[in-house]
Amino acid sequence: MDPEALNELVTLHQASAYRVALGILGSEADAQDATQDGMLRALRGLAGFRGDASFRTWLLAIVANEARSLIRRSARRREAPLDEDVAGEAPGRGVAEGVVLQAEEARVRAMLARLPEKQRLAVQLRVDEGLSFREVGEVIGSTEGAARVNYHHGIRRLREWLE
Amino acid sequence: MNTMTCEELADRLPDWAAGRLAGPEAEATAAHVHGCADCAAQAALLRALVASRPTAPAGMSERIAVALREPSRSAPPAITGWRRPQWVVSAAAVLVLALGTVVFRQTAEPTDVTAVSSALGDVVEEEPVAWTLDDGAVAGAPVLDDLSEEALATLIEELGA
Repeated sequence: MDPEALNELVTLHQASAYRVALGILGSEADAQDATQDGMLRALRGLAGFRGDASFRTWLLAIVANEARSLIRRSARRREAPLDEDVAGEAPGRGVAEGVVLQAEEARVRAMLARLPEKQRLAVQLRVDEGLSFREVGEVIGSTEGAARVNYHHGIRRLREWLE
Repeated sequence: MNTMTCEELADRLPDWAAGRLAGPEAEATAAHVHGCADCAAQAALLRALVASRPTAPAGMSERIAVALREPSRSAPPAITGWRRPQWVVSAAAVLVLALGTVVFRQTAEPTDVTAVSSALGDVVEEEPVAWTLDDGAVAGAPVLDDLSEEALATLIEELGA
């Protein structure tokens, strides 16, 4: 394949791939490794892309598998379930409004990281990447209906933690 | 008039919060959100998620592009073309064992391998040398590996006879 076209594919999809890997691994360094390995695997195996899913969905599924296999290989595990202290943390007082907003956003993102994997990925893929529930299901290995349920359960739990 | 229910809205709310909706669909969603405290709270959560999306680390795409130009570490080159059937490999293994057995039972007398060479056809065309069965047992495997199917079949037939 044309090297320039490959570079374009990398540029176009690397952020989504990285977020999926980060969502599974929780470590930036591991996520970079999984993103690179997954994208190389996908782009070198383009012949295996059958076109019955969108290229992005196919790519993200490969990166997700790469991230899971990295966990298996290194026995790395994500952090413990939700810590009540972290869930109850409030942004600091007396700081500028923009900083408060950023702190709140970071807190929401930190809570997302504490959802069970399928709920977390369903929320991420639907919100961050704009995938349909059918596509979310293809990436996380479930049906469209199960992807929808995982998404709504994840959102409901996040709202409970934030209240 | 806002006729959209919260359930109908819930599936599309992420797209609205991320700015992926446009036109009448976006307007209808906005109208509902502005009149519904529950959906507004959910929309605020979704906006916070969108705003905190991680970005790809600097230089990652360049690293991937460089790695793409390098030869693959994990995938060996594909083997194409004809592959020797499994029975031929098994027969070769039996032949090597048989030769080894003969070697142990015979004294190492110099042997002219011209007859063997002719049986192997064009694979073994070197000039006749003083060759012992010991030598053959050691060097036999790689030579057999290079044999054509016909030469190998002939050899097996002769061995059986």
